[in-house]
Amino acid sequence: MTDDPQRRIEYELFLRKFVMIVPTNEVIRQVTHAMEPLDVPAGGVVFEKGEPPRSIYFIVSGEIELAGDDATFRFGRGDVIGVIDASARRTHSRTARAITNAQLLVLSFSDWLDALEDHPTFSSRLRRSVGTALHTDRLTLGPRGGFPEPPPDDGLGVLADSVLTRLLAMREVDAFSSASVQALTELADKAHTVHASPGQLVFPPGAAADKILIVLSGEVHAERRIAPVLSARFGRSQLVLEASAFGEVLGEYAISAVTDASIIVIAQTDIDDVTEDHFDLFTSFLRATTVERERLRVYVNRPPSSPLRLKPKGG
Amino acid sequence: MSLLGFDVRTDERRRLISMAATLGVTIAAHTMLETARDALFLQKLPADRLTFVYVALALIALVLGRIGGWLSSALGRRSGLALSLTGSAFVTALIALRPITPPLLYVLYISTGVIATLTILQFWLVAAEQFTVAQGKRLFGPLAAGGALGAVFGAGLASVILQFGAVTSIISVAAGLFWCASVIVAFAVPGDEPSERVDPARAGERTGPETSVKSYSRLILALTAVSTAALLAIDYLFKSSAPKHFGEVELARFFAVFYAVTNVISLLVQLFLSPLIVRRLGVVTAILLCPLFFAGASAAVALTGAFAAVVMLKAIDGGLRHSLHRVTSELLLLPVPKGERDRVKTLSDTLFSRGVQAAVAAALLGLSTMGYAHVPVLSVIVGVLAITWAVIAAMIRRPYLEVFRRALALGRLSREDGPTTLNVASMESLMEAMSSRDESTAMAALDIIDGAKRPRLIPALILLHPSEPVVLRALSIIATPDRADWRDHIGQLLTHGSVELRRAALRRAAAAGDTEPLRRGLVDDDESVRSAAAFFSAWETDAPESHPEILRILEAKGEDGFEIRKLLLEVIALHGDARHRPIVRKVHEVDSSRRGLATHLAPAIESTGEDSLLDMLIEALGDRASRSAVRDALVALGDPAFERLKETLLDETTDAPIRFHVPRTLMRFLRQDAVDFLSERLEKEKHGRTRFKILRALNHLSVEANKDSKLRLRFDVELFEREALRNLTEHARMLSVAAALSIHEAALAHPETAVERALVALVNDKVQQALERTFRCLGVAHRGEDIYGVFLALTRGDKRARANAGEFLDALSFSQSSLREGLRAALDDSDVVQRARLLKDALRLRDVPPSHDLAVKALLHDRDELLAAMATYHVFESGLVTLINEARGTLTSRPHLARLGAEIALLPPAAEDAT
Repeated sequence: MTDDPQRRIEYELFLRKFVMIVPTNEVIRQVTHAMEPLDVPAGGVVFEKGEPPRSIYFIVSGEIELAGDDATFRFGRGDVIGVIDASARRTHSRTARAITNAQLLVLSFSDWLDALEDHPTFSSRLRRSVGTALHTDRLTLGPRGGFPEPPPDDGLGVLADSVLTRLLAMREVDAFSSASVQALTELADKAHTVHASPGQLVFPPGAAADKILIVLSGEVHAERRIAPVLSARFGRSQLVLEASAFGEVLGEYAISAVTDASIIVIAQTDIDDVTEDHFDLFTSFLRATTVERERLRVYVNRPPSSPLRLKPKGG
Repeated sequence: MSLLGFDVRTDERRRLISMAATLGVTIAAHTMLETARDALFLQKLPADRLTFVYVALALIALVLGRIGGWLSSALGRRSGLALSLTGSAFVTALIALRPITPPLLYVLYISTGVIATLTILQFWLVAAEQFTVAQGKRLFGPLAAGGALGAVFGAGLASVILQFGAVTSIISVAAGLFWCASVIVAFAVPGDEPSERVDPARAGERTGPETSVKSYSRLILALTAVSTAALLAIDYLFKSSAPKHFGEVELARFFAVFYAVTNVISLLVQLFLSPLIVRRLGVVTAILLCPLFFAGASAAVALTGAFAAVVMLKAIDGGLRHSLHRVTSELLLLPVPKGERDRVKTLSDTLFSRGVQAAVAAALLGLSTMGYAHVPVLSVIVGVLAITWAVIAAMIRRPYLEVFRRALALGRLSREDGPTTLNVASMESLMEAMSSRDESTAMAALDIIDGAKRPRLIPALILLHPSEPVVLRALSIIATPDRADWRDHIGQLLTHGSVELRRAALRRAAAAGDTEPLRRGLVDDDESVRSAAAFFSAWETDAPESHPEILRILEAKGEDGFEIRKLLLEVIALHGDARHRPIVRKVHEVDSSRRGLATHLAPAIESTGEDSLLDMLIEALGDRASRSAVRDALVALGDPAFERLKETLLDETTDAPIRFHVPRTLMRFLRQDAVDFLSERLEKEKHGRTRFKILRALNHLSVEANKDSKLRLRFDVELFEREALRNLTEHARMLSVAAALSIHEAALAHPETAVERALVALVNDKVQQALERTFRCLGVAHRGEDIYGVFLALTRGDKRARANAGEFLDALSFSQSSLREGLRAALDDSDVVQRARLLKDALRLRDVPPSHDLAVKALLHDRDELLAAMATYHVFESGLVTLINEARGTLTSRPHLARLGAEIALLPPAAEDAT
C-alpha cells in the first residue's frame, strides 16, 4: 500500500490514461491505494509457470515476455499480465520474464475483485465491455464468427418452462457455470421464456440490445445483416452469441427460430441486480470470458490479452 | 480422525508422530547426557565450580541464538535442526571417546547446556512452521507429551546402563540417540512450507514488524522473564525447605517419589488436560492459569508456612510447567510473523531464560548470604512474581488480538475514499499532465485535481484546449461563481461548433448571473441551447412555470418535446430551487407514461424538494436505471420520504421488486432511526431475500458509522449476536444435510442427474451463505473489528490464514457462549461430515438427518421453496420409493412449488410437449 502522494498521482495518471475502461474515481483511488511498484531488472522473473496467481501486473515501462510450451508473447507499456490465469482460477500457464528493465505496478487479484465488488456500476460496465471486445474478435473470424455448431437435437421437444428448467439450462452456459445456484435461481426467476415456431422472427434487429438469450430447447438463428455480416445457429442450453452477448450487441442481430424453440430472455439490468448480492455471478462470467477470449485469440493467432487490455486512448 | 484418543486429522498424523518422536528421542538423549554430566561432574569436581559453568552457559546463550538463526536461514528450519542434532551426536561421541579429565568435564557440562538450548529452540521453531494456531491448540499437548515420554525413557535407560556399564557408556548411547533424532528429522518430518515469492502487493509482510507486533513481542519476552524468575524461586523455595524436614536418606527417597508423581501428573496434564483447557478457554485465558495457581499456592505458603503448602506449590509447578505452561508459551508465538517469531523465540530461550536464571540465582544467593532466604520471604517473592506474571498475561490479550488484526488486514484493500492528498512534487506532475495536448492525459489530471478538491490549481486557459471533452470537464470544475477568470472565455465558447459545449457555457454563465450569453442562447440554432437559455431567462421570475419560453417547452409535442423537457429537467437539477416545483410537476403530468422518466425527474426533485411525487419515486425503485437517482432524491426529501419508505417495507403486499430495494434506500439516510427500524425488521422480516437486503443495509450503516464517528450510530450488539447465532444454526442445519448428501454421493456408483447435482450445489450455497450472513451480523455486532477480513481469510485464505482468523474470533468477547462454541466448530478445518458433527454438538442441534433419504425428506419440508421444489423433483426423478408419497404430499400442500418446476418430473413426455 502506498501513502506517498507523488506515487499515487503517478499511478492514477497511469490508470486513467491507459485503461480502456476507465474506472470511476472511487475505484481508481481504491486500486491505487493497494498498488505497489515493482522494478524488475532485465532477465528477472515476474512469475513462473505453475505458480498460483496472486496478482496482476501493469507494465509502466519496459518489456515483458510470456513464455510457455506453445508460444512466446511480448508485452509492453500499458499492457496487463497475470490477469488471465487469475481470472481463470488456474496456475500460471507461462513464465513472465523481463526482456528489458521493467517497471510494473502490482495489484493483488483479490484486491482487484474487492474493488469490483465494491463498485457494481463499474463491474457492470466492465462486463459489457468484455462482451463487446469478444464480439469484436468474433467479427474477425468470418461469417460464422467461430461459434461451435449447435448440439444435435435431443428429441425432447419444447421443454416445459419453469424456474427449475431455466436454472438447469443456465448452469450449462459457460459464463454461469461457476455461479452459485442461488444467484442463478434469482436470475431464472427474473427471466422469462418465449416460444417460437420454425422460421418465426423472435427478435428483429434492435429488439434484444439489452438482453441475453439462452436456448431452452430447439434451435435458433442469429444473423447480423450489416457489415461485417455474421450468421450462426445456437441449440439447447447455449447462450446466443456466447459471452459476446454481454456486450449489448444482440440488437445488431435478427434472432429467429430454426425449429420449435423456447428461449430464455434475461435482461442485463437483472444480471446487474443479482450481481449486487451474488458477486460469484461476476467472477463466473470473468472466468468463462477469460477462457473464451484466450481461445479466440489463439484461434486468430494473436497474443492473448485480457479484459483489462490497456492501450493508449486516442492513439 | 483420532490417534490414541486425540483429535488428530489424517493429514496431520505423519507430521505429529515424526515431530513427537523427534522431541522424545532428543529429550531422551538430553536426559541421559544430563545424568552422566551430573554424576561425572560432582564425582570429580567440587560443587562450587558449578557457578563458573552457569556463568559460561549464560554467556554462550547470548551467541547461541545467532547460531540457531544462521542455521535456520542458511539451510531452512528443518535442515538446520537436523544439522544441529547431527552436530550434537558428533560432539557427544567425541566426548565419549576421550578420557575423562577435568577440562573435558567442563566441556561436557557446557556442551550439554548448549545442545539442549540449541536443539529445543530449533525444534519449537520447526513446530511453529509445521502447525497453525488451530492445530497447535490441538496438537501441542500430545507433541510435548512426546518430550515427557522421552525424559522418562532416557532416565530409565540411563539407570539400566548404569547397572551394567560405566557412566561414559551413557554418553555414547546419548550420541546414538541424537543421531537417531537427526535421521527422523531428515527423513520423516515433512519439509518446510515452501517459501513464497515476495509479492509486492503484500508489502506489509516484508516491511518488518509494526508497532502492534513489537509491543506484543515485548510482552512475550516480559512474560518469559517473569515466569522464569518465578519458577526458579519456587524451585529454590522447595529445595531449600525439603532438607529441613527429611534426613539424608529420606530426602533422596522423598525426591524420587515426588518427581515420579509430578512427572506422571505432568504427563497426564500434557496428554489430556492442556489440550482441553486451551481449546475451551483459548490461549489468552489459559496463560492466566499457571500464575494464578502459583499466586494462590504461594499465599497459602505465606499464611501457613507449612511444608505441605510448599510441596503443593512445587507440585503445581511440576504438573504444569512442562505441559500447560510450555504449550501456551509456544502457542503465543504462532501468530507472530515468521521473522519476528524467530527473533523473539531465540531471545526468549537464550537471553531471557538463561540470563534471568543467572540473575535470579545471584539474587537468591545474595538473600541466602544475608540470611533472608526464609520460607515467608521466599513465598512473598514468589507471590509477587506470580501476580506480576498474571498481570502481564492479562495485558497480552489486546496485543494478541492486534497481531491477528494485522495478519488479517495484510494486503487487504483499504476502502479509502477520501480526497487524494497532493504535495508539491505530485502537483508538478499534474500540471505537466494537464498541459498535455493528449486528451486522456489532460483528462486524467483534471479528474485527479477534482478528486483532490483543488479546482484552483486549474488555470482558465485550459478552456482553450483543442479537445472538447477536456474543455467540458474543465468548465464543470472551474466555472464557479467565486472565480472570474473563466468568464473571459465564455464568449468564445458560445460560438463553438459543439452544441454540448455551447449549452454548458450558457448554463455556467447564467448561473453566474451573466445575462448577455442568455440573449445569444435564445437565438441559437439548436433547440436544446434555446431551452437552456429559456430556463435562465425565467430565472428571476417568481412563477417560472408561466414564463412564455418555459410554457413553450412544456407544451411541445412528441418525442422532440420530451427531449427538450429532459434538458429542462437537467438544468433544473443543476440550478433549480423550490420555485421550479410546478415545472417538475407539470413535466411529470405531461410525460408520466414515458419509460425512464424517473431517471430525469429524480435529480430535479432532489434540487427543488418537490415531495408530491413520492409514490412515483418509490415505484421507480424497481427500475435499475433510475434507482440511484431516485435514491438520491428520496434522501434529499428527508422525513416524508423516510416515513413513506418505512411504510412500504412494512406493507408485505408491496410488489417484491420494489420492496426489495427499500432497505438499501433507507440505509442512505445515515440516521439512528434508520438503524433502529432496520434492526427491528431484521428480526421480523419473513422474506429471505429482503431480510438479506436489510442485513446488507445494516452492514453499510455500520461501515459508515466506523468511518464517521460524528454520526454516532448505535447498534444493538445482543440483537446482532442473536441473529449471528440464528444464521449459524441455519448453517449447521444445512451443513448436516450437505454431509448426508456427500456420504451418499461418495457411495454412488452411477452419475447423478442434473437436478441432483443442482440440489447438492444449492445446499452447499446455502451452507456458505448462512455462514456469510453470520459474519455480516458479527460485523455489525463488533463493528470495531475487521470481521470482513476474518471472513475473507476463512473463505479465500490459506491454512495458516484460516487458523489465524479462527483464533482471532476465539479471542473476541461474545455475549452468548454458544456462539463462540458454534463458530469454533464451524471454522474447524476438518471435512464436512466431521464439521457437521462438531456443529451439532456445539449448538445442541436435534433432528440432524443421518442419511441421504432423511436429508432429502428434510428438504421436502424446507421453508425455502427452491430447495423443496428441487428435492421433490429429485424424489420423482430418482424414484426414491420411500419418499414418493411424502413428495406428493408436499406438492399438494404447497401447490406453488409447481411454478418452480417441482411437478415436471411427474409429467409424461406427451404432457411436456403439450406444455
